Amino acid sequence: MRATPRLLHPAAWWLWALALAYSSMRTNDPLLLLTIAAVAAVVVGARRGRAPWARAYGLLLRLALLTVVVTVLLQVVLGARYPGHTLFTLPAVPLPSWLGGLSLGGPITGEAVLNAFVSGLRLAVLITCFGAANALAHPARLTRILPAALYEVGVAVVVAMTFVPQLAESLVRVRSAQRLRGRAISGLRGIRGVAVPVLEEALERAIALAASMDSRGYGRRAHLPSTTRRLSGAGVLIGLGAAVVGTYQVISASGGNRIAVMLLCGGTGLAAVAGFVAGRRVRRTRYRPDPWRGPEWLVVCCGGVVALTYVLTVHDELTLGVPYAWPTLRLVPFLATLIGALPAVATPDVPSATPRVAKPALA
Amino acid sequence: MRRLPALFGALALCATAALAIAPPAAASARHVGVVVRYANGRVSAGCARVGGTGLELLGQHHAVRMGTQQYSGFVIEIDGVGTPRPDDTHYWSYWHSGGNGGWRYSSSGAASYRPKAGTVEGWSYVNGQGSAPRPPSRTYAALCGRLDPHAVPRSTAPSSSTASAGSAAPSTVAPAASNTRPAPHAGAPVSVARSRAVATAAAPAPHTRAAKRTASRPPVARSSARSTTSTRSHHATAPPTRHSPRPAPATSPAPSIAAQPAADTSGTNAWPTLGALAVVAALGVTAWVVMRRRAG
Amino acid sequence: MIDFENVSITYGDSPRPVLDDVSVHVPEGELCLVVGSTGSGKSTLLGAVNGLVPHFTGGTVSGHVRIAGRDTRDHPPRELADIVGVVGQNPAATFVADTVEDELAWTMESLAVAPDVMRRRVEDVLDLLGLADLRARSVTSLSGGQAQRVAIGAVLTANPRVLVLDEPTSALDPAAAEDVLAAVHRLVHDLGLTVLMAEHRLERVVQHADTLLWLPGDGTLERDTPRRIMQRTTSTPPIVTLARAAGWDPLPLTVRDARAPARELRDRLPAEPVAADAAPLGSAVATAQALTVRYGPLTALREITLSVRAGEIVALMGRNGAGKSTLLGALCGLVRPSAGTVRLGGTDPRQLRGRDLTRHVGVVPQQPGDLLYGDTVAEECRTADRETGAVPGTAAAVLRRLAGPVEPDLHPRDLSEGQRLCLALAVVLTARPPLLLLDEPTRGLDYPAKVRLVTTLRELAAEGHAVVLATHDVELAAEASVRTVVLADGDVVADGASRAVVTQSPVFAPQIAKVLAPLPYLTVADVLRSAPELIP
Repeated sequence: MRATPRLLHPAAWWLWALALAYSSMRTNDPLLLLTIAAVAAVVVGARRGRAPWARAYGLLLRLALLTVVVTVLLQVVLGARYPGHTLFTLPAVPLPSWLGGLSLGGPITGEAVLNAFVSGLRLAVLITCFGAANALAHPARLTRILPAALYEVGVAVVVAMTFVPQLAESLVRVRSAQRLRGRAISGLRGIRGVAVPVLEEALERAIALAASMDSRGYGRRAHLPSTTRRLSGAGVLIGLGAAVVGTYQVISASGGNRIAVMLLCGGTGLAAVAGFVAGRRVRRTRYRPDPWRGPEWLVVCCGGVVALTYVLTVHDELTLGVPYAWPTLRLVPFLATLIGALPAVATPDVPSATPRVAKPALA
Repeated sequence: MRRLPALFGALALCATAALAIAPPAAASARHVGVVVRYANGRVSAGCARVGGTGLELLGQHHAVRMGTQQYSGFVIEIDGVGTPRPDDTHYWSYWHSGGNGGWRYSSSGAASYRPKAGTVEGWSYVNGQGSAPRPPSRTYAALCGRLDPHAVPRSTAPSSSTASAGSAAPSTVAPAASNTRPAPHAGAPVSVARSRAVATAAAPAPHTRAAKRTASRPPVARSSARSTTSTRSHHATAPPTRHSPRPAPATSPAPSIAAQPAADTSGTNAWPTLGALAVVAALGVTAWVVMRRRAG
Repeated sequence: MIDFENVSITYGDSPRPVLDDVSVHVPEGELCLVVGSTGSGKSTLLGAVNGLVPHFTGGTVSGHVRIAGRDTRDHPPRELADIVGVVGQNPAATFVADTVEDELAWTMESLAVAPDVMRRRVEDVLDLLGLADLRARSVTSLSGGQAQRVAIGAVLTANPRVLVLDEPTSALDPAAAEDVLAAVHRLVHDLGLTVLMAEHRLERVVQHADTLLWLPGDGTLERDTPRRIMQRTTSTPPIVTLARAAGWDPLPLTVRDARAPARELRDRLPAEPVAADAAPLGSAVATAQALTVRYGPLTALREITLSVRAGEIVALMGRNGAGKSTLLGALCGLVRPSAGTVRLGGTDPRQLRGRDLTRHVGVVPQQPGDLLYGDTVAEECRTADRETGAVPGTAAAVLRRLAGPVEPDLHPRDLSEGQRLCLALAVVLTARPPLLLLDEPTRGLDYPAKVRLVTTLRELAAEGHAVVLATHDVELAAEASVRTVVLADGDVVADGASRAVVTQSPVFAPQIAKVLAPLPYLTVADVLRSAPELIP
């Protein structure tokens, strides 16, 4: 029996991707890292939405690849020499000592390349995890589950994000126009010639959008004393800030301590209380809220299994370079990572929609 | 990048000081002595061909692992000794000697310092001491005399003082391999046992914690690691030692080399890895095919 | 429903109010069209309805504007969202959500409508505006007409009683405009909505209107039936112009109404219109040989072969996305051909840079402002002279000829649409390019500005310039062009004398052609030349 096609709850996908990303940050085993990236790719291939944002995945994948290539190249050309098995020797260019130990050329060792590759790969896997979350559930859909107190901020952020592609579009248009006027589009004058019309247009568009949102009822709210409003707003921000700092302290390499845990708990609590108070002034309803059913639990559990397995079985010393040896397979985390790919088949398919047709435009 | 400011300062000094202080290279010396003093006081001394940085010379006969992330560019482990999170009292200190046995604390990074022929390089692990212990004195002649028979060392009279006797005077100077931001937690050396297993010198039992860590690793990992280190540890004996660059030259009077490089010998252990890689590739291809089919 | 009571609106330190002591009442269920030339205050009037003026734009408002009894003085726009729905000039820029369905629901979410009601209303609106097939589409993938309908639907779901539309069809091709207007018509007739709409293209909308609000431009406002206003305004669609010349009474507003009184005229007119003095055609200025342009999997142009001769005005027509803009882009070297060649007087435009390019081809893009970046009109003209190496004062002289006197210290942004187009044209013409390309030049132009534009283009052609204009405006194409090229899906489907091409097509035929069919008359000017007795 096939489940009715539907989009899963965005939070489920983001949690799943977060779990994969966290797992990838716990290891510097290239084999496991590659497995995580492949698992994310399979799920994206099977369950990404059919809206244009989902196409950004390919772009992010290319960016991830570029990250690896650039990291390795930088290491080969500029990096600190890493002793070990010499793969090949570049002609060494002696640099003056005041350049602080930078060296050009010299013997390139397998250790250096391997370690650069692994550190590039970790970053690349992080990027693909983010790309996967983005392709599976657009961040804009996350605003629908934001608590009322953060809703307006969320909408503002999302709307600001839609400005980037529009800005790029008008940039291309204005540059073409400047070229058609026979004007240099480089140099200070060129930059001004491009920037002035683009910024003017962005401003006009922002005003038009704000006017439209306002006349569509955005920002209607119940009355709340202004002191309460300000206090609750500040409470949300401070609480979230504290929670973020606490989270970083807890999961960062320096290890958890009591203050970090207190920061995390206190911050979350403060944000929750302030959010509840602030949320009372926002009156809005939700159209077709995303349901949270079995498939969502499955997605989150798959991510959870991966993350938990890594917590229990992977204790890589991340600060230590990888030994120059054939990577050995660690069966338990490897198999656990494969569980992360389960949502590709065990969740309902995405509803079909007509694919987007690119529309070219002059100037 | 964090170490750059420190290095700039140090290098400014070093650029002039190294020229002035460094002993003139012995007339026909083609080597540099390398002395490594491990955490437990055990010493390995050898001789490396000149050319390259201090780090590269060290790497000629020692398994060196560099740090990544916040310890990027730091020497973290030599022959499996070291901590993945070095701090103020646990780190590899870096020394120079003119070849006559007296040690001078290095004021520059091993990755940028280029030792001259006829000198001796020292590495000493600081394992909780307040100041860095000097490496044991070894003269160039004692280390490389047999390889450079015509070399005239600057002075003779090697000191035979024990490794832990002296202590570095300038403990305030940041050593090349120490981090300036101490990490709160300093773990025990991770893979001491790996090199111990093949070290020829009598070594005390490894830390229990390290042993536990090693034991928890899958057996495959250990065996391949052993084959890696065993290629390098043949010289880790008391001086005078033999010089055996990799690949071992025919002229070297080195004892038989224990093993081929790791990548060649671990063929049987590579099968699970290859299998996993195949699974990863299959997943990738699946993802690509599904994406193409859905897009079209 | 909408009450203006002694309303005066003044912006900033402007000495003259845009609206001066205006009182008007628009009753419920009326489709009310706001007409007037550019700058007469149409947008201000529309903005005042839901309080965007002055809450958003600034300015001073005296008097009272009341919508269903609510005074905009006390109610900001968001508190009127359940009564007034406003759709701006560029709806695609004001989308907030991802998909059509979410966009439709967004207003209701802000208004805290109950979920089950929301669900029902979204379905109703999807059906009402024919959007059901688009419900899961991303809002960025919509065509112009679809985007306009989605924007209308998005405010309609809040169940407003008044709908305010600012230029809803000016950017649309004729077929898409018909879709939108049919939807609006249905809202008025079936739901009893009050609609206030501003539109330049009267020929498209005037027959739908119950009443007209006429802003003559002096701050006053008149509300009357379309016929009576059309008798008096200077901005009239071609049918009305012809009817007024011929003295038909009652004044016809639709092609159908005009067919009956035109019978007599059809009998009187010669079978072929007296030819206007067309500019003599010179040699080919631009040629495209088997030109193909692909964007990824999409083929925008398929093996186009075309040549444009000096003195020729070519109208490029076709639906949105048919490849008009791509063809213009290829002709000026902005778009790289995937196959085939483009030559401008023997040169590949992609090889040209800087001054060489401006000497070969002049382009006025859809938004003429893109070309301009000076702080004042005078500075812009000086820059154009310097950059093209023309004698100082050339650009200013061209501008004077095109637009009459223009205040030289004004910022280009503060010019009217027509003046800005003229300034961009002047800047481009300073280099005297043999080929002139215009992309949608009539966006936002009122009738007098359009007439001036046509005259200008004719003069340029007479001087030996070749002109190619891509446009949706069938009236402009009929007035100005001697040759029409119709593109569809990247192919040339028709290429020939405008008279032959447009009279054969029901979509691209201008009003006069429809009224006088089967006679091949396209414009009022054609008729007047052949029947000089009609000229007053």
